[in-house]
Amino acid sequence: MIKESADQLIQRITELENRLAESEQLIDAIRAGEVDAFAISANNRSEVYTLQSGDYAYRVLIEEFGEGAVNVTEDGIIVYTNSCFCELIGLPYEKVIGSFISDLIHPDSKAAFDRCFREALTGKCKGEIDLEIDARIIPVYISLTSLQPNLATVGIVISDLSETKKNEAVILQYQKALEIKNLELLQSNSELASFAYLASHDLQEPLRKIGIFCGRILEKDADKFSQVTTDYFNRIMGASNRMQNLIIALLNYSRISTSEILLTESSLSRIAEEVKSDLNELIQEAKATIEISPLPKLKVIPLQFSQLFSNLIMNSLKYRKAGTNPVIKISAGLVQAAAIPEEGPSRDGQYWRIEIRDNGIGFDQQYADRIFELFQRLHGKSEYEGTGIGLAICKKIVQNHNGFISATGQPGAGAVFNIYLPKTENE
Amino acid sequence: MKKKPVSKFLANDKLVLQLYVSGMSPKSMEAIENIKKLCDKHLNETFELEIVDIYKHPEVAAEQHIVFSPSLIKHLPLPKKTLIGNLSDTEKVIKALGISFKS
Amino acid sequence: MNNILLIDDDADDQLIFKEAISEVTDKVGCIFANNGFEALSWLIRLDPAPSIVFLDLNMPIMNGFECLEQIRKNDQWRKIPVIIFSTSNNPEDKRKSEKLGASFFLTKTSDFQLLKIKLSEILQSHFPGIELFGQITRIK
Repeated sequence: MIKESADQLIQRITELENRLAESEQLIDAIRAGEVDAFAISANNRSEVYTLQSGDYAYRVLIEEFGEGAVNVTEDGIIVYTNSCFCELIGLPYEKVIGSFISDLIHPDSKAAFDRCFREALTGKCKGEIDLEIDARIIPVYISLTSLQPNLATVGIVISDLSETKKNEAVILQYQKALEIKNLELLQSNSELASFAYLASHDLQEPLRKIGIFCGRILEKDADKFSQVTTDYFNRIMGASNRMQNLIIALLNYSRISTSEILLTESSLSRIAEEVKSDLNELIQEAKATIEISPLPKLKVIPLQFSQLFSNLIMNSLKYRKAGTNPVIKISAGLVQAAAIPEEGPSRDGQYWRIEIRDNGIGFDQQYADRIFELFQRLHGKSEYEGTGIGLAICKKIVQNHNGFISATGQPGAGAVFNIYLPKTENE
Repeated sequence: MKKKPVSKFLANDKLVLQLYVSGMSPKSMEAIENIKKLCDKHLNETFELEIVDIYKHPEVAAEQHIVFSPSLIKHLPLPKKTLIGNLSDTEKVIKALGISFKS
Repeated sequence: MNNILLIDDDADDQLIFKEAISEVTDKVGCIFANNGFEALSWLIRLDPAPSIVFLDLNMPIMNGFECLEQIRKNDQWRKIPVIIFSTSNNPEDKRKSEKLGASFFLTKTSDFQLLKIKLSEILQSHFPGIELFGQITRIK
């Protein structure tokens, strides 16, 4: 029994020696300044004690970082301020510490600040306000946090928004300038439109007279003239007629550019059917068939799209193959931007492709771009009538819709006109 | 890490460590940096390191009566060892933890 | 002799009108006024007043609408039918002339025959039984 006790004692002593060594090490560590804090539990409660060195980093952070930081009592007295806040508002420390924060706030912001402060007493609050010091106004962003229950204060971080506000002011100026330019553009467009209308109207007046008086000459004195003279008068009337058509077509062309862009969701099938019925006489006369496949509902300018279809159908009818009944097929489908063979600026997303295919005389592919230019014709005036403006109008219309148009063809093998329109989200 | 830290005691020779820190205190931040560097460089065995902030969890003192910050506790393998300080003396730390150098 | 008054500042249009009327009938006399003021002075002087007034819209100083208003204001002339004779094909102009009391809107075209047909119709409806030259059929 004594032997067991001795063993027990030796065990206990070793234990105590170990524990003592550890404790000495701990005390050495404290003396050597190797700890910043410790937690002790006693009577079921744990408490953390911070040694002097432990707080240092927090102090440095708050003092050195680039934002203003203050502690404010419930009554609004500033009981702590960092140097950054003093710099921000341009007052020395002595003037800030102990003053009322409301003295620094611009009258227009006082109500907002009070609301924010009250909210912060039970949680957090953030917002933009203006400070006013000696008639200087400083826009700031404030973030308030109640430090209860640890401290009976509300901590506020203040960020200077002066730079941001300056940038905002510059942006606003640019916006205003843009608005003015927009208005000027609208004004200029509307002036241009009236000018075009008046000019075309006044330009047609003399032509009307030429037509009437030439007609009168031929009526009254046709028998007195030689073949040649009669022919000359007919040519005069023909030229004057062509000029009238040209003026009307030019007016149309200018209207396409200057009219307001009002996009409405429209059924392209319906527009195509309406154009088909409008051109019924021409279609019957040419013994043509127009096949319209289902077309999508898109946001377009209905009047302009109507003109687009009309011009393209008339174009196909005009350039039909002799001895063949014209067949014009209109269809549509979706394509990926990457899959579009026609060259152009970088595009992405999806496009609607509306195809107008005919079996007419076609054209040489090398002229594929030229045919859309103003006054460009691939055939002599004597072979085919026309102003040379129709396809240019088509190109303008498609451009108005943010799309593009192209044509492919082979001489003798018909032509295909492709209208590409970017697909927007809801379509 | 909101839940109360739980020390895991496993059957094998895995190194299980806990580092106690106190928020933004300078030595806490140094200790975290040092132990991370040490583990990356010298430990080829698997290990577990848990960092506990005594400001957030003062109750850790309940189990051990007193907890210092910073301090590194080796729970496994036994015997349990406590190292106080910012762990800047790498050799001392490795010796105390009884671990092998990375070859 | 029935008189009709044309108020138009364009000498060519006056000539065309005169020729068209003369090829339709010789029972109607044409009087020409170059502008609104001249027109009003003619209306004052002529006794009896003209049976129909043809009025251009696009005239300087006093335009067609202003002239029409003046004619309609006067008790003596209020009953005279006024026919607008203009190049405009603007529906707004048509509506405004109707509102101001014009009885018809005749658009100037480059088709002389068509003008003769229209004038025949107008003369026939205002002078029932009037003697007109030949048969002028409308060509569809």
